[in-house]
Amino acid sequence: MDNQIFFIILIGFGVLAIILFGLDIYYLARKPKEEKGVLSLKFSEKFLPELEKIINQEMKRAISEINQKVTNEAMESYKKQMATFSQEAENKMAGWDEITKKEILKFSNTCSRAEDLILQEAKSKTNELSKGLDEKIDRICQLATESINQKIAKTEKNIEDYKKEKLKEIDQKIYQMIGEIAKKIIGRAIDLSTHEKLVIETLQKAKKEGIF
Amino acid sequence: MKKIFEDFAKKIKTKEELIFYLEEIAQIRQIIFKDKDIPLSKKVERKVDGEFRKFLEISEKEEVISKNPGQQSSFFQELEKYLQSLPEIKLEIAFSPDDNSLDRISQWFEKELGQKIILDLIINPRVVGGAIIDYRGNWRDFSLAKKIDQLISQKNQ
Repeated sequence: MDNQIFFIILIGFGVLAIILFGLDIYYLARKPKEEKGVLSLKFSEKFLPELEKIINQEMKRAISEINQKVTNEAMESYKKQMATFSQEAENKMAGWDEITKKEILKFSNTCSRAEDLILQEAKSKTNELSKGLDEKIDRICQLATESINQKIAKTEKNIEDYKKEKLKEIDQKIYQMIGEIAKKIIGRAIDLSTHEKLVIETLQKAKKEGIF
Repeated sequence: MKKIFEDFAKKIKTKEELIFYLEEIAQIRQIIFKDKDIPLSKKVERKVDGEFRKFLEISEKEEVISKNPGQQSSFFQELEKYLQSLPEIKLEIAFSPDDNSLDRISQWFEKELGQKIILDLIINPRVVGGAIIDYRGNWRDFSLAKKIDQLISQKNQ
């Protein structure tokens, strides 16, 4: 924006300078004819180019000066504006800083309160759960203990029954063995005549029982 | 003739002996019709048991056995039938009886039952003593082994 203003001003000065120069030339050119009778100055051939040169130089200088001035003024204005802006920005920042701090503090307080509330609630719930859990655990332990005791009793009974059965089997086997040994010993001990007597007795028994 | 058969059967106590004599009879029946002029007792010399041959000799002398081969054949056929009809008793015993024991046992049957019985003996030491009897479908265990088992069973209870 500033550059545009500067450019416009510059163009304006340039146009003004050209107009003025042109007017000068016009009047200078016309004046000798009208005022021939009064005063007539003769211009040398070098005058116009030199005048032009001087005007150019002056224009350049003026343009340079205007340029410089405008630049300086623009710079100044920019600096002032920047300073103002900077200050305002600083003030705003400070303000935001303040606001941010306040908000942070507020948020922190809220968080802290929320934390306390949550902790309280959590403690309360934990206590409730804990109480309920204790009761449940007690109940479960009781049931488990009862169940285990029942199973132990059943297992002990099974073991007892098994022991009895096995002892009975062992007894039977022992008696069987005794029987086998007795048969062998008796068989060897009986002589021929005893065998014969036993057979005859057997036949007599069989006759009594009606086999023959 | 029955008396002759009964006398003959007195020699036979066991089933083995019965089978033996039945085989002897079968052999004799094969040679009856050979060498018809030679006496039977001569024909069977060295072919049958000595005792059997003596029996044949005596029977020929007493003319119990005819000289006619046909009649001889009938005689032995009848003898065979008679011997096969003798009742048998299976006795499972724990010892191997000698001839005297066999005689006594066999005589018991003749005395107590009035009849000749062939003894089918099975020797089984596991019987221990006494006998297991199988007679005409009646089976009974009168062994010592059984008594011992019963005793042991009672003690076990």
